[in-house]
Amino acid sequence: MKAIIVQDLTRNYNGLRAVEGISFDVEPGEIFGFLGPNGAGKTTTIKMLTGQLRPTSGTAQVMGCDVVEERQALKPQIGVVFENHNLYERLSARDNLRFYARLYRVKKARVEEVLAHVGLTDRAQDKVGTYSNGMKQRLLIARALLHKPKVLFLDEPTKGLDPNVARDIRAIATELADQGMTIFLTTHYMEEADQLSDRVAIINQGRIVALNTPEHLKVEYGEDERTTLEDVFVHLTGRHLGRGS
Amino acid sequence: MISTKEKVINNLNIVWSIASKDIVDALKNKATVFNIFAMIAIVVFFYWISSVRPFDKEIEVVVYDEGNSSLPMERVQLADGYSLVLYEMSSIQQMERNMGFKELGLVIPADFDQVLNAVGEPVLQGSILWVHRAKATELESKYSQKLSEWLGQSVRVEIGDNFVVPQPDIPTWPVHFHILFAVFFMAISTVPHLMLEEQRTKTMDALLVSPASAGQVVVGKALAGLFYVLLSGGLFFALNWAYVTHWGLALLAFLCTALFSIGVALILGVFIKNPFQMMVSMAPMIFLLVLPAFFALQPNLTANLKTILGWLPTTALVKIVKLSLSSEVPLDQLLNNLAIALGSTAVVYAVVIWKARRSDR
Repeated sequence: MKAIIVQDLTRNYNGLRAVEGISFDVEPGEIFGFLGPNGAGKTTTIKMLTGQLRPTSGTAQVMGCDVVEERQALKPQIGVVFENHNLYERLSARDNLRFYARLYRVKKARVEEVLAHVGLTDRAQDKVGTYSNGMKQRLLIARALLHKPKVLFLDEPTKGLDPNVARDIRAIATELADQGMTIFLTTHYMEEADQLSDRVAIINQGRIVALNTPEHLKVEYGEDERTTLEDVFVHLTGRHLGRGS
Repeated sequence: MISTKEKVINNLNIVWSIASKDIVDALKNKATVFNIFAMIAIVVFFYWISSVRPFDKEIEVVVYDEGNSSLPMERVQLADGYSLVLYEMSSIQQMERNMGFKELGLVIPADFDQVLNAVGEPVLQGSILWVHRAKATELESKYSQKLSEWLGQSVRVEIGDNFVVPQPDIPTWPVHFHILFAVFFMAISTVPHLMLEEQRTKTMDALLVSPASAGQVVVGKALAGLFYVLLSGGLFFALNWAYVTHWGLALLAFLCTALFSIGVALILGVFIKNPFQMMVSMAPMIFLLVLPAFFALQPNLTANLKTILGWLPTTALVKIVKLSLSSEVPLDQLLNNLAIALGSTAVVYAVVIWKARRSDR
């Protein structure tokens, strides 16, 4: 069974097409990079795949659950690490996780497990408002992993983080994929997408303009062996700049 | 296959998780703590001004004069700064009926003038409002002293068990209005804030990809709001218990008021998008809903206005509260007002659920 199947998915906003007939599928255990410039339709796609937004047309299934018809069944299958740090800042990290543990009906012991997994056990009693961005990002990952989802959506997981924390986050993502979790990743860092993703889809103006492994994309669209994924991205999203510019 | 029982338990678990999180989280929020203190100040102030009456130096007395005595029915200034204001009534029933605002009812016996002229001590039958029943002895002595001071001769007021419970249709101190104000203040200052903060910090997105549905989030917020509204109701009844004549009805009235006010607060919560909108809409909303209910019970209102205001849910709620503080509960009035209150509450919650479902997708 495919982890994600998307067929001709479209979403209109006030007559404008944010996402236009996209189709792709994602294998279980795959890290799938979903790249695109700002406003290309990445967040809209994630919102549709996580059941937050109803598609205008087309279908999508995540772990066999239709994202429109089977939303409640879908929810335990997915974890989402949002782009913004949407945490309860007056509560401690432990209380944040315990709250979600109750929603997912997960045992308290699991809270301690995920806190340890992301290295926050020592600061678990501190208010989230006192956390650095890196710690908040770790906590977001812990929250998304709490109920052991099959598919993890990572929306710009390393945005604004220092290189050490970003590396830790990437390591966690790789480790999870190695354990069989499917990861749907959006990022603006092409190097990160290149390093992590088994396959990459590039979306521009609501349409998927390329979908393949990073290596294939570089061969297909590159001029020579020095071509990077960023060059491919720039080429496909409509801005031809010289390499290194 | 999940059984219905499991579904119900799951629903309750999610709703209670959201509510308990909000109750704890809100207590760590300075704005909510400020609102709680403001609510306490409002309830205590209303109690102080209506029951303790610290600045009230006027004793209004309704009098039934059995023998048309020589007592002048007028305002009398006493040496200690108090004044007595006497209103003559044509019967004991009329006297009791007009005691809503008055402190004392007095029956002047037929032989009053003779006893007074014979330098005896006339005994006057006094009546006080039921709410003051615990202070009957103290009031007997107070009124005896004031009347003696006025007449220059010893007079005794005997109250005994003469407690008058106001009838539902007569004007009284607006205690019924105080609870409406306190409950609306608490609900409207707390619940929209809970909703708005969830949207502002985007934690709503995380909630909606969790097993919680938009409806459960709304119910959870309503429960958290109910907790704070219960605080205001608890404080109100702790201070004003002596007014209540029908406890069952008082609690029903409070519950209806709480549900309606939380519904209105939830509407604000789902429609308001930023703190500025909340700031500018909160106070007008409280006054818009609560003030007409206050005026609706004024006796000098034109019939048309009375009819229009009578259809307002807050007026209906105030009337139900008032019935619970009155001598009798006319069933037609109760059912009428309950229908308006519950019907409006149903409409309000329908709007909330509709809006929550729309914003969910």
